[in-house]
Amino acid sequence: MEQFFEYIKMAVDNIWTNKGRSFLTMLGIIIGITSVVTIVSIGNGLKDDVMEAANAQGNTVVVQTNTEEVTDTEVITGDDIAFLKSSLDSSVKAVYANISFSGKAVTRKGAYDAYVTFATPDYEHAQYTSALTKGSYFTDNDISNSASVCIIDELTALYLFGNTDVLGMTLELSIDNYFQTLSIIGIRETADEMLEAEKQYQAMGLPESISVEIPYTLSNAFGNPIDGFFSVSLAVYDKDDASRAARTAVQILNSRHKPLGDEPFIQQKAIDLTDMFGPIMDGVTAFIAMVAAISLVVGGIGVMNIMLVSVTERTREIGIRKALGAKTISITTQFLCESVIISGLGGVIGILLGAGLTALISFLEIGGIKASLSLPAVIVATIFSCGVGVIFGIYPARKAAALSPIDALRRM
Amino acid sequence: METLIQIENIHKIYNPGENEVRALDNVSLTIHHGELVAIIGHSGSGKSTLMNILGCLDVPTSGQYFLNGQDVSGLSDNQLSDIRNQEIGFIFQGFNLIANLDALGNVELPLIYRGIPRQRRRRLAALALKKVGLEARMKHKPNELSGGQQQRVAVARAVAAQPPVILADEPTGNLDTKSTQEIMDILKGLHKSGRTVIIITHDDDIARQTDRVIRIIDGKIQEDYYNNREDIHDEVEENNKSH
Repeated sequence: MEQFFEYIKMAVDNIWTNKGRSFLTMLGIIIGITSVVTIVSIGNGLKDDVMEAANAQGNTVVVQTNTEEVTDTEVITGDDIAFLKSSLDSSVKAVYANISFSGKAVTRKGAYDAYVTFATPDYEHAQYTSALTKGSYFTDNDISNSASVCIIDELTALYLFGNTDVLGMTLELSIDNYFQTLSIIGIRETADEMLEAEKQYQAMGLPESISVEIPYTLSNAFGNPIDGFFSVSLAVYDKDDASRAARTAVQILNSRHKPLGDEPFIQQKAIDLTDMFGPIMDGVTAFIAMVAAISLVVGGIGVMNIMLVSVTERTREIGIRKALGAKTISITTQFLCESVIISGLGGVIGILLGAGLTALISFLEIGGIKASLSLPAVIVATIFSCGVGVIFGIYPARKAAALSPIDALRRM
Repeated sequence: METLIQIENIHKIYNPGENEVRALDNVSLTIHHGELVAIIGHSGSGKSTLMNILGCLDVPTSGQYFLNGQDVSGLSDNQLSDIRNQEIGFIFQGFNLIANLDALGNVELPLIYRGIPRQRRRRLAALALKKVGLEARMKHKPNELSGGQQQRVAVARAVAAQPPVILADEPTGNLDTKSTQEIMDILKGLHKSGRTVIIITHDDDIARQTDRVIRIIDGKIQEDYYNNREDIHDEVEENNKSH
């Protein structure tokens, strides 16, 4: 061990004697490691961003028929939904289901293609809908009575009536030649930017956006009774409660539909952005990291090259050392220490530079990226740079050690 | 006197076959503990080959070599490294100091390979440099020293590990007359203190200062005789007068 430190000291002395050359050799490794660490860190940051975005949309979860396990007749009934609503705790804001059809809405102004949603009362709080500005939503009573009522938004009111003050007015809705006269009991807000967007769609020649929400039990009156739904949505106040609520709902529904299979209902897998982008991002990061790794290999060849030059230059020194009693292993160790120190030190400098660059990118938020230093990348970079030293140092070191002392001494 | 070196029927043949060169041709030789020997010959005579074999830097094509009673003719490279480290102190014509180590660092080298701990090593190296009169130059690099001083560092390196044999290959070949005599005085001093010293040289003046002269011509021992000690004494006197 004592002797091993001597070899390290010899190696350090020699690197120090050839400062300029050693640094230039190191530069290859430094650049390689810096790029690997920085690129992997940027990749990490991008992934974190996507992950955050994915988590942000998680206020609503959907429980659906398990299409893989169960026959397609299995549905969630209105009773199921009512039971869910009474069973789930107060963290759940709304439990709703809905089915949409296309129909026609007719007033004195004319007949318009309409997007008709058959819904349960909690659809009032459905994802991506706006709040009511006038009136109120239909109730459980309206559901059980199949009340002829509807909810429209301000944009629809403008199309059908020319103004938004239409509470209590009626419209005629037709689906598949069934007609019903519905009175308007609630009006949803249409935000100004939605009006702006609608104007642009109109200018592009797209049809008017007319939507009508009605109690799902009215489906009987339209000749197409709805027995139930293939999915039910749960809206929670706090997204942290979402998955727990979904699990409870799946349990309740599965216990109510037990005879039909082990797992008739499951939680719908949200379109997981991390699932979608994760592999792509990992792939891109891996690819760029690989390109950077090639520069490491080039750096390694630089180390080997300079070590070979060093062996040639120091042939006489090697001869002297061997004459004085250095063994093959002593010479190999000395030269190997040199190449490992050069590449290892290059690696450390590279990691520091990479960490610095990462911090700088995060600080300046270049391209909005918050790069985060990847610990595995740092560890791999350290091992890799020392490995480069060993792999590319072993050949020159063995070449040095294999010299016979008289040949080495004779040369000059 | 006890036998230190015994070689028997040593051959060293380069390019075996049609153009073979017999650098050493059936050489047998015995050297005892405490001798001061000159091996003399012209360049190409085979004296350097003999020196390489005596120094365990090279192995003979055939023949046997006993060093301190141990047969070293069949040893591996690593074993030969140990023999060189423990039994032999080398002094070369070209000094062969390592340029980026100071005098102390150079003298330390054989002690490092012997595995002597740092503190003791430094003390031994410093002592050896003191013995050759360079205690004031320990931190000097070779290029900051004169030729004579460099060779004295080399002598210190050769004796620091206290090997039984000092093998000097043309130790004065690159030196002026004054430095030559300094080195010769040191070598003779080492001999007086009981060390075996073998000097390889082409210079009859150097050979005359030793006890025993072995002359090699064309790979064979031509002469092997003992100098008259009185002669040496007169020679030294004469030398001193002429300076």
